[in-house]
Amino acid sequence: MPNIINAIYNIRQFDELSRQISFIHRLHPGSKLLTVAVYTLLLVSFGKYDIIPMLPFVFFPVYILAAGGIPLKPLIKRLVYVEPMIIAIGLLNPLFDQRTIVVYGHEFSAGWIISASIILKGTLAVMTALLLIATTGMEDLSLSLRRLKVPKVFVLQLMMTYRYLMVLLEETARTIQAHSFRSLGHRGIRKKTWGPLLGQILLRTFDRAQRIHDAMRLRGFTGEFHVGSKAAFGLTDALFTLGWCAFFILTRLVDIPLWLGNILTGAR
Amino acid sequence: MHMADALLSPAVGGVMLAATAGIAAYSIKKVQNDPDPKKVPLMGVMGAFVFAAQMVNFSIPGTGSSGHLGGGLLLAILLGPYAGFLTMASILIIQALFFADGGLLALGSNIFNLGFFTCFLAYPLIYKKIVGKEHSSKRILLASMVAAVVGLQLGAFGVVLETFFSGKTELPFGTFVLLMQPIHLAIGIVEGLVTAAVISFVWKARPEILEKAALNQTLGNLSIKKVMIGLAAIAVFTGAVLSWFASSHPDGLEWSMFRTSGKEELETVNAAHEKLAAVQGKTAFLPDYNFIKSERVAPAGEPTEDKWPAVSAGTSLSGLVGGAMTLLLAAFMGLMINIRKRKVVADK
Repeated sequence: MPNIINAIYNIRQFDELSRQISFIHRLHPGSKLLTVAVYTLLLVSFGKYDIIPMLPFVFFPVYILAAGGIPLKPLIKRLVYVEPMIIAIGLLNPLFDQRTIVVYGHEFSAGWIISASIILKGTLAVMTALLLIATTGMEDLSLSLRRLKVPKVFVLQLMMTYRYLMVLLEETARTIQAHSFRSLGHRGIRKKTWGPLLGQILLRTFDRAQRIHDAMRLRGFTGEFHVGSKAAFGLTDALFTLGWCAFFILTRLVDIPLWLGNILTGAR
Repeated sequence: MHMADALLSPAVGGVMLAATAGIAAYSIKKVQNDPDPKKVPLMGVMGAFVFAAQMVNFSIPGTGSSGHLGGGLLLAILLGPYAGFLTMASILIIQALFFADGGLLALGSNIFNLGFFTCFLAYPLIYKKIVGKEHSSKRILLASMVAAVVGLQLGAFGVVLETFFSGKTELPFGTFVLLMQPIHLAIGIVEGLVTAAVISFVWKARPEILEKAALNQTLGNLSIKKVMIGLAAIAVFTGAVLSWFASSHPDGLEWSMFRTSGKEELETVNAAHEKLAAVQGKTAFLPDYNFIKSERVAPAGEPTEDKWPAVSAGTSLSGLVGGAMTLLLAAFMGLMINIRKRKVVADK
C-alpha cells in the first residue's frame, strides 16, 4: 500500500515539475532527449577504474538542476530507492579484487575504486534520466519520439499507459485498502485472494478499455493524436545540444581534472 | 532485477537496444495488422494495470514474506506475444524515467530480459504447449509456473551475461550466476503462482477473454529462426559500430577475463576480441591511442608489465586536486545560476 501511494505521489510530483517554466523546460524535447542519450552513452564508456576523469560529467546534471529550477529533494529520494542495488553490486567488488593500487603515495584497494566508479556512474546516469522527465514531461517526450519516427502505435500505447497509470493506481490502491479493512491487520494478500483481487481489477480494466475505445471513436479518433505545444527545433535547441555534446566528447577525450590539477599544482 | 546503466558498456548496451528495437519494430508491424481496433487502448490500459499490480504485496504461504508480480507472462497470455512485449516495453520506459529503474541505456537490456524471454520464448514454447486447447485450472497452474520460472531464469541469466560482457565489475561470472539464479527461482515461482491465480480467475469469470486472446495471438507464421537471424544481424552490426566505444579501454573485458577465467577460455575470448579489434581498427574514427594518451600518464618507476588502469597512473596529486576543483566548479556553477535566477525574479 505505501508503495502505491508513493508511486502516485512520485508521478504527480514529476508531472508537476515538468510543467514549470524555465529555459530548460522551454527547450525542444528532442534536443534534451538527444543530449541525455549522448551523455549516458559517453558516461558508461568510461573504464571501470576511471573516477576522476569522469567528474566533469557532474556539470550537466548540476546545470539542469539549477537552470531548470528542479529541487534536489525528490531526486535524492528516488536515488535512495534505487541506489541500494547499484551499491550492493559495487560493494561486492572489494571482495573479489583485493589487489591494491597506489594513488599518490596511498594504497587503495582496486576493488574499492571499481565500486566507487560504479556508484558514481549509476548515480549520474539515473539522475540525468530523472532530470529529463522532470524538465520535459511524458507528453512532450512521447511527441519527440513520434518525431523521431517511432511508429504511431507504440507512441500512442505508451501515452495511454501513462494516461491511465493514475486511474489504475488509484483503483488498485482503493481495492487494497478495502481488502485491508476487511482482513484484520493481515499484511499482504493471502493466497486464496490473489486471483479474485487482481482478477477483479483486471476485468474492470478490460471493460474500461472497451469504454475508452468507444469514447475515442465517438470523438472521431482516427489514430493520429495532437498533443504537445512544441515549435520546431530552433537555433537555441541546436546550440544546447551541440554545446553540451562537444563538452561531453572533450571530457571523454581529455582528462580535464588532471589538466586542471597540473595547472594548479604546477606539475609538468 | 533491473539491469543498470552503471554495469553496462556502450557496446553491450547498444547491441541490446538495437536488438530490442528490432523486436519492437517487428511486433509493431504485427500489432498494426491486428484486425481488432480495440487492441491499442487495451494495451495502454493493461500496461497501467500491470504497473499498478506490480505494487501489490502478496503474502507467500508459510514464509511470512511477500512477493510481487512482474507481469510479462500475464501480458503475453492476455494480449499475445507482440502486444505483450510492446506493453512491457512501455511499462519499463515509464519506470526508467519516473522511478529511475535502471537507466536509459539499460532500457534495451531490461526490455529484452523481461519482455523477450517471457513473450517470445516462455509463452509460445512452454505456456501454450502445456495449456493446449482446453483450459483447466491445473493446466493453467502448471503452465504458468514452468513458463514463469524459465522466463525469469533466462532473464536473470541475461543480466549476468550483459554484466559480464560489459566488464565493468569484478564479480566473477560463477559467483554472479550463483547469486542471481536462485533468487530468481523464488521470484519465478511467485510470478507463476500469481499469474496462474489471475488467469484461472479470468477463465472462470469471463472465459471469452482468454479464448479470444488465444485465437488472436497465434505466433502465426513467425519462424523463430528468422527472428534469431535478424537479431544476430542487428547485434553484429551495432557491435561493430559501437565497439570503438567499448574497446577504448583495453583493460575492460580482456583484462577481467585474464583475471577471472581459465586460460583456454581466455584464448578464445582473446581471439574473438582480436577479430573485433581488427574490424574496429578499420571502422574506428577515434582510434585507441587517443584515449590511452590522455589517460595513461605513467609516472616513473611504475611496473610496466602490469597493465594498470588509469587511476593508478593518471591520478597523481594533480588528478586529485583537479578532481576536487572540478566538483567545486560544478557546485559553483549551480550556485551562480541559482543566484542569478533569484535576482532576475527579484528585479521583476
